[in-house]
Amino acid sequence: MPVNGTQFAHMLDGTLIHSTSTLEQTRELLDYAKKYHFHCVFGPRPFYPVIAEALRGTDVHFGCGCGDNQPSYIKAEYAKNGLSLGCNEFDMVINLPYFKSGMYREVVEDIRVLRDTVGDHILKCIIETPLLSDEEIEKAVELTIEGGADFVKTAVGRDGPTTVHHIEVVSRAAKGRIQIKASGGIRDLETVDQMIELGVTRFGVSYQSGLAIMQAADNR
Amino acid sequence: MLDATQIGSCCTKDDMEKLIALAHEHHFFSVIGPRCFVPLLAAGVRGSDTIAGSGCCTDTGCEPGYLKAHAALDSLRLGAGEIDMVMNLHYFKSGMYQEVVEDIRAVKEAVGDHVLKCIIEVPLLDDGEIKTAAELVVEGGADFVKTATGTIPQPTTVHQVELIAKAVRGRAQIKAAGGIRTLQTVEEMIGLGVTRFGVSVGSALKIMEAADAR
Repeated sequence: MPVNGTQFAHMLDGTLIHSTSTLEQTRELLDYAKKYHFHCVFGPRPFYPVIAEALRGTDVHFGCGCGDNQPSYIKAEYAKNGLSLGCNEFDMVINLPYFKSGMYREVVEDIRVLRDTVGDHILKCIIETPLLSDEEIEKAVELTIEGGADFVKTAVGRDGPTTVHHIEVVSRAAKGRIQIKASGGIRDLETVDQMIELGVTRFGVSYQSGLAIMQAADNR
Repeated sequence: MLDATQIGSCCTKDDMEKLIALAHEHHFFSVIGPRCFVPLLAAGVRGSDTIAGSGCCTDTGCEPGYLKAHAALDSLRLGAGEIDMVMNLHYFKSGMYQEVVEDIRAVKEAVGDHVLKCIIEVPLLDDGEIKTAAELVVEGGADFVKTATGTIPQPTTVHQVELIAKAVRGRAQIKAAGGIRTLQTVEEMIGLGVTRFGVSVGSALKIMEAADAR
């Protein structure tokens, strides 16, 4: 049974993270998130206090970014800052320079530091599929599971889109041991349908594209 | 005048070793890599006339000032000699200029006498915004106005550097970075007062070669 708009909204982490996103745009994101019951929102960090205020008492989760190639203890500081503001989902990027250098033990330890910091809250770990070969994707999924993340997430969206093929590779490697969040350049319902079929349970999409996909899902 | 950079997500420990070897050969002003490799770079250039530089925030400069300050201090502790930061673009685009200045000031207070360069990300700004941003960087106390992170596809132009030079009027130095690829561009920018360049090491070697061959 293909998803309708409401069901897709419940799988949606609505994002607004472009460098130039403003306070006004953040308020718009929050209005939509509450109206349509997005699963979670990722807004610009300077406006986390505004987001915290707007989401208090709602069913919308409050997402926090936690960095990429900084030392792990600095990433943990980002997470702690989010925790202090009421964030309850945490997205991090694996340390790609370590990964590409074959320093796998360091990659896992980095994830574990964040795992320990956020406790029982959801931790998603981005492996940046557009920059990886199929073999590297498989390895990265394995390390993400080993590090204790709840989700393997595909991409930040800056280095090219996540493809259905990427999701196939992630899904095959994950074998149900970790949930999958697809993100980065996902713009149409057809892609979303195919990815759900492959086991994706969460989507990271700009809220504008998210609204368009919801509409398409309701109109089929 | 060169901050030789290699900061792509995919650069490896081997790339850092190569960068260090090139620094010893060519005497770059500084070398900048991913932050997880600051200790490696610092150790590699110790005792030479090159220093290790370091970022202290994300490419959007979005985190609270105290986190930037904390990360800057940590990089100095790990052996970096200079710090590059990004102005808080969200605050800037929201017209929250006081917050922009306070953010820069927090980092400058943390790094003390160490050089602080503040990126304003010119490809995302119009001419008026570039002037305002340069003014705020001076007000925040950074030592350099730096043009761009290099993560936006558009390069820093000579025109943009000219706007910054007019705005700062010698009150801060200028570091030009982001898509600078030719000797001609470099010369025009030096003519406008640029004292430091941030260029990926591969492009930098070509510019050096061109400068030697004329």
